[in-house]
Amino acid sequence: MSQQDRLFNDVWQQYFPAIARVVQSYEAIPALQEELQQDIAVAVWRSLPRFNHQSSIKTYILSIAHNRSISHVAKHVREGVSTSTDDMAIAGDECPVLDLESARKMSRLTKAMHRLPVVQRQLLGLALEGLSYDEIAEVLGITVNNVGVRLNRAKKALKDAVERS
Amino acid sequence: MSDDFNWDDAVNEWQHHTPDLPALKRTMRWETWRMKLIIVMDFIALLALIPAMAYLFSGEHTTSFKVFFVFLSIWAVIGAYFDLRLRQGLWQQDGSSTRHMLEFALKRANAGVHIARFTVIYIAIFMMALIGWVAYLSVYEMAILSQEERWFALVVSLVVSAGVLVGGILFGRKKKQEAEQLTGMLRQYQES
Repeated sequence: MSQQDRLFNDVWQQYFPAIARVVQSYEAIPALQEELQQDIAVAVWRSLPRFNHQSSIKTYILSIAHNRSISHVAKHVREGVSTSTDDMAIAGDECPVLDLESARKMSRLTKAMHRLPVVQRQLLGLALEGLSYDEIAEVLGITVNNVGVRLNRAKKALKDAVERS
Repeated sequence: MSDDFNWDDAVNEWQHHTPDLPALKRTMRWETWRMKLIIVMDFIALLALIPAMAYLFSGEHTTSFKVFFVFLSIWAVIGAYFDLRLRQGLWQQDGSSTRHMLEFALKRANAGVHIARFTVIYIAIFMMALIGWVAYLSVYEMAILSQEERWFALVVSLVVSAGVLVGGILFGRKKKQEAEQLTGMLRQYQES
């Protein structure tokens, strides 16, 4: 196994939950989720040797994942609402006890995100992962002030979308 | 996040959730080399023209055969040159942000539109040359190929060329749609 493969395995294992959440926030169809996950894995594997430590590895990986997801949305010509979310399954949906409420909340949140424009989905996805305004600005290629304004708008849009569902 | 939305609850729910995705397939190396492989194959195809030309000119072939295959070889080199030229600057994007990525994707989509236009003109000229050559054969060099062979060669070449022509038109339309959509998305990242 090459050094690049080892590095990829470590990073993939560590950030898989975050990457999976990105995939789920952009794509609802399981077959296409698999395709998107594969695209992201290839992009991460290819980009890891170029990581220059100017940002955190988490920001770098999330940046790759979001960029691949946006390309995926563009490729499938589905701006805004990418797919029907009515039959979307969230892990834990069928769990009978404590996970049920959590799964229901996640399902509502993800479905609401799918109704938002791509740029808002990206902003919210990054903010929900806990990235700072500086990091979000770096990922999106916009100013920090702009992040603040846009994120407030996006949060309001998400709140409306969740409460309407 | 009961029925009223709360951002902090949402962050908590989000970060503790791991979607169930299928296992990853190992295709990383193949994906990386695919683009380079296409270029290598292009060059191998071009290099294959050299022995083909040598064979044609060493054998007892008619002048029209030689003229057509010289045209074909020059045409293939012109095609490869323009293909590479149209793809210039499309190998690697400048920055790593989403805005950079969208700008790069737009550049690629626009290049796709140009490549499709070029392909349509390129194949149309090739088809005209082919029809002209077969017409010449039919009138002046009837003995070289039987009528069935002439028709077979013409029909097969025209079907393949027409397929590439239609493919070029459809590819161009798809890339144009993609470019329009990317322009719209890019605007979202540029507006304040």
